[in-house]
Amino acid sequence: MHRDLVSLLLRDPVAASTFGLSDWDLLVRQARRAGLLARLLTRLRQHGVAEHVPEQALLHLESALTVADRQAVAVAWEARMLRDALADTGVPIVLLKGAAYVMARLSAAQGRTFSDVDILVPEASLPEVESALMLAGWHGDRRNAYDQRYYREWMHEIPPMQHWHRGTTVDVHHGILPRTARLKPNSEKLLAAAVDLPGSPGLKVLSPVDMVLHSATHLFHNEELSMGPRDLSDLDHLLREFGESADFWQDLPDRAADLDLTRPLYYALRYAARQYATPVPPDTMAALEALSPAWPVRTIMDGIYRRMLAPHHESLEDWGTPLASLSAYVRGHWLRMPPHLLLPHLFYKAFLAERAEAAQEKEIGAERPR
Amino acid sequence: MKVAALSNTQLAHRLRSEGIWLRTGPVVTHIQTPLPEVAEAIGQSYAHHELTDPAWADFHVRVYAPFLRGHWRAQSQFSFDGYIPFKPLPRAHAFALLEWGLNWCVANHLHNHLVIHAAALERGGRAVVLPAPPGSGKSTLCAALIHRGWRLLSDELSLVRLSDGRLSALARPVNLKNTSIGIIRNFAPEAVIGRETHDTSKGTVAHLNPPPESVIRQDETAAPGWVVFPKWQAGAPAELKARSKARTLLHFADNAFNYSQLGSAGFRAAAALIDASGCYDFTYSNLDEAIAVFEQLAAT
Amino acid sequence: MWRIPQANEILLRRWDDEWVVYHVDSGSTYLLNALGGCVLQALRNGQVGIEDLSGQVASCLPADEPADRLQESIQESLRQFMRLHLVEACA
Repeated sequence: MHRDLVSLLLRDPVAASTFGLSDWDLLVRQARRAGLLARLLTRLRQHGVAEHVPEQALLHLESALTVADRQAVAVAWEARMLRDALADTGVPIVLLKGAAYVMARLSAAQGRTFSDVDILVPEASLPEVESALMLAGWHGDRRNAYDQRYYREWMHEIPPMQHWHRGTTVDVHHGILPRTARLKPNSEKLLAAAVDLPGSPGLKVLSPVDMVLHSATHLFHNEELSMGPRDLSDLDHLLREFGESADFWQDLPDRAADLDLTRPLYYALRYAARQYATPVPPDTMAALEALSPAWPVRTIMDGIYRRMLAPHHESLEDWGTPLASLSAYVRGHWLRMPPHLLLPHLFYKAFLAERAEAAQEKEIGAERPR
Repeated sequence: MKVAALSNTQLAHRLRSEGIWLRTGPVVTHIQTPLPEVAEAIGQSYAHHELTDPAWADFHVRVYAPFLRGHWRAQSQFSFDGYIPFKPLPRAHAFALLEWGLNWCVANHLHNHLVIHAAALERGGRAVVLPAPPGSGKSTLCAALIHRGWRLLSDELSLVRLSDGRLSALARPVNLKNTSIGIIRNFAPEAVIGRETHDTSKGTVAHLNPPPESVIRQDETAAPGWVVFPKWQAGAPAELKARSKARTLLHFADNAFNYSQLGSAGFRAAAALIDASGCYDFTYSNLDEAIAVFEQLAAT
Repeated sequence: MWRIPQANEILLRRWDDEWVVYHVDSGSTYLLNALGGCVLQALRNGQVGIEDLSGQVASCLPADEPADRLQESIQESLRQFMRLHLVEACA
């Protein structure tokens, strides 16, 4: 098994001077799978070591950054379109994740790719928001009845909506975890603490502490870990940037306890520190250790996440990987749905979804090579 | 070392194990496949291409026969370093799938170029770009021209370098469909055409070898020269008509794979290409007449 | 008064009577006729009132248009451009 060169370089950019051409070949492959190619280039440039990148590899790093930069512009535009569409409702719109990082000009936006825009609104405003979006040209995906129910009743989202002309997607959330999940963080508290975006009236982002908690929760409760390494890197950036303020490290565990999100925060800090050498103050870590799971659970979690948070590239697979992936998948769902709902859902996803999709695709027309 | 230096057995063995590192213009692709018919097609279509050092590849790809639940016929799948961009195709189309996959790699990742869905040929140091929707006869015309004094840059992807506006060559096989296969066999008996695959989504498909000279000169870029939109029309005399440059720019905005990703650089590159090129619509029905018109064009 | 918002970057190209504009923030590319192109061209130099705008557009256009018809056409162009977020009205 090879080394995780991506995490290595992100932790220690100066190591770039020791890389041979075949190292760069492997790095580009791993980083592409992890969605971290562009971020790597920004990091290397910041540390003045980009001159060590051979031109063959530089092409790919720069290409990735070109795309990421362009996507940031597109996301900012999309946020503006959303604000215009929802202005009349008076509903406060809180941008989440990538869109928030771009609009708030955080370092976590650097070299990041973006697809959908995620927003958080009060649960009671959901129908109004959905209507306003439809008036402005967004429409629900053509999903079947099962998926509609999954999204509306069990998850924390109305199904993603697509804009008929721009083709962009918006995910409207009213909570950061599904209604059916075990943990119950309080969305009202998050909304109440949200901060205005200077220069964009009508748009807000979560407070720094809440942004970190949301990122941690999203990462450790999600079944989709394909962006695991990238999401953990986002966390690393957020922690470093917000961590410069002394209050931040005191407020973080307190707020986590208040929102019942101590467990995901514990994992977030633990793995960010291990993988990206995030500077977490010893006191904070100690306080969370006291609340951490017992060692058998922790060892198993370490095993799962060590593999899932490294780039998902064949060079980093080992005997444990298929099991790690499956465990992360099941765990993700387990946390979001109680067992009596989980089994029928997984069965549907595994066996029936394909048929339903195939039937839909016949109508829509699946992608074929030209 | 060239691909032709390996025997069929050696080539198939390498492709089954560590793979080959194949250079096509500015791109090195690491290819692996356990499928013998794909190995054979690679050996034929890429005979004159160079095999390079395994230390570096721009793209790592595989074509293989996956086991898929619910599919009783043999399939082939294209994988880009573990990522699968296309649905599988029937096994018989595996080489065509590889070719499409190689196009996909370039179109989605080579952002130091504006990548336009068009053929590109070179004559006297200048490039003619031939955009055309499928079924317009572009590939037949292209295949004919490269046997009448024009150098093949690419059959599917025109690569416009962002740094200087010049066009880069890939010098890869030309995709021929249905009747054009027979037409080109007649038109250019020296052309090397591979095995025909039937019943693809486009009918019968075969791959024409890039002429050896186009491979030898694959590192020679070309300056912009002309943009010609060909359209085969029964009975039409071969005729060039000046075309709106503004509308041509809109066409490129729609038909360059990475136009959106490149932002203003994409707009500038497309505009510069058009500024420096004569833009025409071209109708024809007779290949010889078409060739003659292009001869005149080259002389301007 | 009309203007292209400060943060808005647009790229313009002209061939004869046809123009193409690229709007950087939205990533959209538009084909414009002579009137539309001349209007945007005039606004690039800074904010302009409707009379000045008519004057600049008139000298940019290939053919003569009666002044009142011209102003009406310009207003219509501005309305369309506003919908596309290319221009905005200012005090």
